[in-house]
This record gives sequence, structure tokens and C-alpha cells, in this order.
Amino acid sequence: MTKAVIVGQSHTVCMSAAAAATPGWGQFPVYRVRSGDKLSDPDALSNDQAIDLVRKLNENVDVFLSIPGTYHNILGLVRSRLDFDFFLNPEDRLLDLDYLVPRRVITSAFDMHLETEALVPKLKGVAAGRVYVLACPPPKQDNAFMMQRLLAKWNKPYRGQDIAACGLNRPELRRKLWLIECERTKFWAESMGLDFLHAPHAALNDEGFLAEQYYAEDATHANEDYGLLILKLVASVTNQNKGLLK
Amino acid sequence: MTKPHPYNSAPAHNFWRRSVAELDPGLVDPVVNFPIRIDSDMRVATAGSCFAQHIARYLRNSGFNYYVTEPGHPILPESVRTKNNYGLFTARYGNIYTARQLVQLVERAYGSFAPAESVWQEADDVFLDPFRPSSQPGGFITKLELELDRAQHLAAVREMLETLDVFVFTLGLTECWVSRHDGSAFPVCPGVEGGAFDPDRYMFYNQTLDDVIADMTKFLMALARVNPKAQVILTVSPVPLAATARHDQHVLTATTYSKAVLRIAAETLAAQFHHVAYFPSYEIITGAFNRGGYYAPDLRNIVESGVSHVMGLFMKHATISQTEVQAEKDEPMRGTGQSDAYFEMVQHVVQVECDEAALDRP
Repeated sequence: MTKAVIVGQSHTVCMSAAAAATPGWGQFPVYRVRSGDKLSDPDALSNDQAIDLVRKLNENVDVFLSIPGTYHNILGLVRSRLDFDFFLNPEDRLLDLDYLVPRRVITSAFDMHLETEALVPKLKGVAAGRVYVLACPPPKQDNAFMMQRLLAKWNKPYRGQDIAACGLNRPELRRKLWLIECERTKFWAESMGLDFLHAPHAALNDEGFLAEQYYAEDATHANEDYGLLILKLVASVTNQNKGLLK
Repeated sequence: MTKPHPYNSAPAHNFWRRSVAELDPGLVDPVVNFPIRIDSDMRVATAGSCFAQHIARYLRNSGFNYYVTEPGHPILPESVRTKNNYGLFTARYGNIYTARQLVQLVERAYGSFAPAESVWQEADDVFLDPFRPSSQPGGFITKLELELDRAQHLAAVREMLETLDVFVFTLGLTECWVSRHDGSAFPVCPGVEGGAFDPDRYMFYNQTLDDVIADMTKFLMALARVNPKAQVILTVSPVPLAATARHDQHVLTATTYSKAVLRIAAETLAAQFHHVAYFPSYEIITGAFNRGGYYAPDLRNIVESGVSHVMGLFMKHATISQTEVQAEKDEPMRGTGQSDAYFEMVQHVVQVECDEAALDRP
């Protein structure tokens, strides 16, 4: 009997791959929701299909959502014309910078982005079981790796910015933005009665970035080994729930 | 036969019956020979009280070069910048209600005045700038963050002053709270939007006509030093005082005093300085011809039809529309049509940010 399903966007690809490739780990169906139109992504679910799917699940099936994440890349992947930095914590030392963005301005950027996320509240509304929100994967530290993959695979502007001309931001800036994204997503999820699950600690290197063995062959995604860590996290949470219910 | 006298040949706008009482309220136009004309290339900076936000909004939405030197970081979506008060005015100084605040802002920007009171700590991670306590929603997380942001802000103020073409300033109040220590003028009474009120540290001061003229003159001289070509449009906010600190006065008489002082100061300054003009938004909103119809039910806020009337006349008299610019290029005679931009103005009411309203918060 299915104990949990995973529904999400592009970050579910590594989980599907892990489920398919790892014997014994196919018990959690993974559903990808398309972000564009059907023609460009016919294999993924529409929002309505995702809502129908979750609505049909009974109360014993937990729902894990990998949906609102990766806004830290929109803000911080490509280097902007005006280098910026911000205080993640009061004791931080800032690098030489052109521009300081106040912490609460950055925070509000994530909050306002999350306010536009409509699917998660709808899924929460129709789910009979518990609903969890998964953190998006930690950022990569290796700018050269990322730049090479971006240029090779995209060869076009990322979110309207010319990557080759601009370059990438400092890894540490990405990491700080990811940490804020986790903080705000947790706050947002909990305000709706959802639980937030941090990225597995095992996936981090000593400096808090995605460890290289979990890199997918692009700039922003993790690989199926990371996907397996998530499946194990899902299993752990689900089994704990079922144990608690007994 | 009527004997000749000066009123025989006076234009219609000199007569109350013809230009006020007998006109449809929407057609009343008290602007005569306005000397400043803004074209779409000119950098128009704004500052002042709550009402100045409407001027900024209309300029921004009407195709004019509403000049913002502190727009927030470009990586942030505009909605985020707006929420954090970037673009509300040319720089993120918030409401500047008094002439004293304005001149001190310039002094702070150029380092000739450094207020002793530089930060209000509200909690472990909430620090407010006493001179713009509402500008950063939620405050700054450290004193250092506040100081770094302030340095950026004051640089943006300097850039504004040195590069603007037209500065539109709305005079709002004469009543202010100042530091007993060094005379720093706060936008709102300490303790209302931040800080803690202490009668030993702060005192109420109601500016006189001489004060306002002196402060504004000081400002105009400072502006001229860094930007000799700058022109200045003064308006007086028609928004009444939310509260007066004068216990011997009713808020209505205190409002009348305040607005009268500001109105006379504006008139005096416009007469003294050739690059300064007064635009009568105050009269358009407060004039009896509209029978109070331009005020919201709270009798303070201005409804959109009032703002539209003001800004329609502003566009008509103080701007050169795109149509007119083209006509000037095509023909030697200037066109007389109303600005196209006026007809494209947004109609929805925008809630202006007004710290002063906090004085009467329960």
C-alpha cells in the first residue's frame, strides 16, 4: 500500500530517477507537475491533474511537495550589473560590495514570491493525509562547473540575463539566499499547517553547499543520489508518522 | 455707462463668480501663467508630505521622467521594491513634512550635520532610522546594516540634488518634534513610529513663517550650489493635521495656522526666486467650489477625483505633452491641447503612506 506520494516540479526528476534505479525504492510514486504548457512537457501533470490526484488519496497517504523552491537561483544565480550582498545574520561580515540590500528587503522578496504560489495551498486543501514541503536542493559551490553546463545546455539567457556576459554570482551569496529561501518557505508552510523538511544534512559539504557527489549535470539540480537521500527522508518521516499513529 | 476702473479689463480668472462659483467644479482652474514647463526628458524629483506621493504616482504613470535615484537593487521585482518603499519618492527618505526636515536632509547628505541621535533600537534585531522610521518595513537587523543603507541613501540624495531638473516639494506641516540636544527634526514624534518619547530629550516646535522661509531659503541656496539649473515647484498639502501637539489649540485652528504659514511661505519664495513656482493644489482641494467633495469620509485623505483634478491641471499647465513636443517640432505655433498623458492616468485609489496618521492610532 502506498504510504506517500511526491509531487513537485523539476527537482522531482532526481527522485524519479532514484526510485527507478534503486531496487526497493519504488514504493513512493513521484509525480512531476509541468510549469509550462502541455505541448512542451506532455509527460508531466497539469495543476488540475495534480489536485485530482491528491484529492483521491486517503488519510493514510502522506503528500510530499517539492514545489515552491529555487527562487534563490532567480535572485542569485547570474551576477547582476550591481554586485550586492546582505547580512544573513547580524554577525556576518560583508564582502566588498557595490550595494547592500537590507535583510528584510531580501526576506520580503521571498515572502512575496511565496504568496504567488497557488498550487500548494490547493493541494493542502484537498489532501486528506499530512502534507510536507521539501526544501529545494542546496546550491552548488563550483562556479566553473555550473558555468560550463549552463553555456553548454542553455546557450541562451537565463531568466532574461546573458550568462556568458554577466558571469555567476559568488557561491556564498547563493548559499545565503538558499538559506533564506528555506527559512521563509518553512515559515510559509507552517503558516498553512504544513511541515517543512530541510535538505538532508548528508548532502552538504563542509561549507554548507551541495556536495559534489550529488551534482546533476546542470547548474541548479541535484542527481539521483540526492534523490535517493530524499526518498530515504520521505521514508523516515512516513514510517515515523505511521508508528506514531499506531 | 460704466466708468473705467481696473476691474473692467481684468481677465475672467480674476472674478469669483465667473471662475469659481458658476463653473462646474471639475472645470475650476486656478492656475495662471505657471512659469515652469516639464517635458518628458526632464528629471523630476519629488519629496514632501503624503500628498506628494500622488504627484510622484501620476508623473510615473504619465510618461514623464519621474526621477528615482534610489530605486532598490535591480534584481528585485518591482513589487518587492515598492513594498519596501523604493520609488515612493525619488530617494527612500519617506515623508518629509517640514522645511526643517528637508534642509537637514541636505545637510546630512553633504556631511555638514550629523544628528547625535542616529538610531532607534526597538528589539534585538530591529533598528530604525529616526529620520525615516517607516522606510524600511520591519526595520534593519543591525545598527551596521542601518548605517550602510543610510550611506547609500544619502548618496542617492546627493545624486538627486545634483542631477535633477525639477524638484517638486509638498510642504506639509509646521508642527514638528526636535531634539533638545542638537535640533534634529524628526518626521514624526518619537514614540509614535519608533523610538521612545522622553520630554527631556525631545521638544515640540511649531515653525513660524520666518522659520519656514529661512529653512526653505537655506535649502534653495544649497540646491543652487550643487545644481544651478534646478527648478523648484512648491505645493502645500491639503491634508489636515491628524493631530496637533498644541494643547491650547483645536486641531482645526492648528491646521489653519499650519497651512496658512506654508501657503504664505510658498508665495514668498516663489516671488523671491525666479526658479521657484507655486502650484495651487491646496486651493483645488480645499476650495469651497467642490463643497468638500475632494475629501474622503475621514475629511483628511483626498479622493481620487480630487487628485485627478490637481494632476490634470498640473499636466495641463506644468508639462509639455508628447503631442505638444511633436507639434513644437512640426510647427512654429505651440499646440494647446490637453496632455494625452492626462487621459491615460490610472484611476484607482492608491493608499498613500502617511506616518502622521499614526498619531491618532488607538
